[in-house]
Amino acid sequence: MSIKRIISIFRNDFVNSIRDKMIVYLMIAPVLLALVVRFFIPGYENISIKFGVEESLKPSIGAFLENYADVEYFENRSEIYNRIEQYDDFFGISTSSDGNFDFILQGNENERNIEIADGLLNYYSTPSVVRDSLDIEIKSSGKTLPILATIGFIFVILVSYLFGGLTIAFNMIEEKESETLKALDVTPLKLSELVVGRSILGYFMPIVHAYLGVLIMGFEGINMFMLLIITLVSSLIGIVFGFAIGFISSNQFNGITNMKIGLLILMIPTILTFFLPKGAQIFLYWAPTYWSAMALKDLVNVQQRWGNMFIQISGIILTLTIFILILTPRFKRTLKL
Amino acid sequence: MIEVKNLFFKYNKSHEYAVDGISFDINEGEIFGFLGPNGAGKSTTQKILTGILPVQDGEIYLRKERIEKFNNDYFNAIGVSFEQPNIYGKLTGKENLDFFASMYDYPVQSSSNLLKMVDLDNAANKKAGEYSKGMQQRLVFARSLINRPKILFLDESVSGLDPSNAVLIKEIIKELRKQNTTIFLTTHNMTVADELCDRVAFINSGKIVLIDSPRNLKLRYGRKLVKIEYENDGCLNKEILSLVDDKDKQRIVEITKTKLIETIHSQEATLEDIFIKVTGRELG
Ligand SMILES: Nc1ncnc2c1ncn2[C@@H]1O[C@H](COP(=O)(O)OP(=O)(O)OP(=O)(O)O)[C@@H](O)[C@H]1O
Ligand SMILES: [Mg+2]
Repeated sequence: MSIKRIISIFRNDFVNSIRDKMIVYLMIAPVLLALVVRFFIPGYENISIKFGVEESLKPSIGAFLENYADVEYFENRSEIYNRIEQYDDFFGISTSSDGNFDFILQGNENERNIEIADGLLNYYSTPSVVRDSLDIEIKSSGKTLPILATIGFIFVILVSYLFGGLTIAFNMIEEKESETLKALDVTPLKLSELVVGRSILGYFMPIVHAYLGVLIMGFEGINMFMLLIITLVSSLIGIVFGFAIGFISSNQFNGITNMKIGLLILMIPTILTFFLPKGAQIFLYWAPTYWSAMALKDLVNVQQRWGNMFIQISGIILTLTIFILILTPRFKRTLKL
Repeated sequence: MIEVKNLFFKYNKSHEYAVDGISFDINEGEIFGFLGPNGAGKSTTQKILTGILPVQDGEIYLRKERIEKFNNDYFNAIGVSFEQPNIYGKLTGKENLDFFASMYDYPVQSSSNLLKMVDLDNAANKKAGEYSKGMQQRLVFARSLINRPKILFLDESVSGLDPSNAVLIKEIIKELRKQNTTIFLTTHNMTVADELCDRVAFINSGKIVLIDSPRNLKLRYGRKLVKIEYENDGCLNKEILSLVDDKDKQRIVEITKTKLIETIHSQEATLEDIFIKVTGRELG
């Protein structure tokens, strides 16, 4: 194997790709998707809630709430009203005529946030003995990632590695159609060097997208090393998919048909991961994308463990190997002249 | 340098052999012309000799050693120019050459020099997909020289070029012969073959009909041929007939008696005439 040739192939693929509008779109799409998810689906931030408390309550309920949320203090009730008018989820606490406190809402707050605020206030009213036993539960209630954000992130990564595969496929089909592959045939380049060099693009894009995705979506507490490993192994799905399409398609036209079928087969299990009950998930075990989705789901919810991840990664590799074994004889047949 | 023995090749779905038991040898430093009409099997033969198509049956020897499998020593030593300009359309001319240059294990020629040589230096930084066909063909030709090949395979490299570019490429080929490059040159253009080749092989329907130097061929067939053009059912027919062959003499008499003759030329035979005479087929 010659490193020089492998890098040359990668560089050539990269330059060819960024000069192709369609492929540039494929490269940007996951970033756009991450932005869309970021702006339309609440992440952690929108769940965290803010309280406006009247100055006089600062030592009592104010001090208590500071443990759990952002607290601002106001002179009187009408100042609190002014602040509540603003768009975000802001809850007011002011003194009431009976010497206790009033809970003030605008009415358009997120239901879930109301629940949390309400829970906190109830919690404050509970005798301290009981309070201690409840402590942990309330703290974690603001920390769960909304299911849509999880799905969104998994799709960013899924789309990224599948599109990485498509890029490989497009480059291969173009080489067949233009017959530049024949020109490469008569140089010292070996098939293994071509495959390795071409795969780099399939790794490169998902890694960039994965870290950009985490950054854009503002996830907290994710183990970045686990993210790297899961992304690298998941990229194999895209790479195998890309080479498979590249080998069996003789032109752009039937290439696109094959891509559509392939994308469907690989994407559906990921979607079903979220809708099938736990007992029925066994029907998805054949799909490498299922294992990848599970691994990512546990990761972004900060529940991933090494042992668990090892099983999921083995799932990806095992199912892919089976795919390759089934498809290889077909490749051989189609490659024969 | 290269010796080919009983080479056969059949495409998958075809019943006929595209290459039907051909044998020849090419000497070191020689330009060996492979001549024949469209579909004769010229490109197929070149593809087998360059490892693009497998050797189905037959033997290939390089410097007396049998080649079982083409290895990197071989690929480092050959240059191949294709009949269809196969280039990366989104890369510039220079990028195309540089990419291929990076495939070789030994020092290569500078891409700028090569582009200058084939008169593409002005288009070096233009996308090759936007080149004209003739420009692409010259780029492919330049690419085949990038590794200073010992053996060069040229498939129709001169055909399709305008006269001045054809001269340019022919001059480069002559220069390469001076540097002792062995050249396998495929063409259906007899004038090109006549001008460049040390020896030519006539190939027709996958078979080699004869091999000799253009000079010998013309001595053997020349000066004794007439070309007769006559009208037949409203079409112009052309026949080339020998003045020594009895059957041909008979035919001349027959034509003069029964057809309306447009022209008769006794002539110095061109390779083309000889080809038609030998194979009974026009060149493409
Ligand atoms: N890919 C292919 N599949 C099937 N048959 C083929 C293929 N390529 C060539 N042939 C057939 O093989 C025969 C020889 O073709 P080849 O391309 O070698 O001819 P050629 O002498 O190079 O002709 P030309 O002057 O047109 O380039 C032809 O009958 C052609 O139809
Ligand atoms: Mg040909």
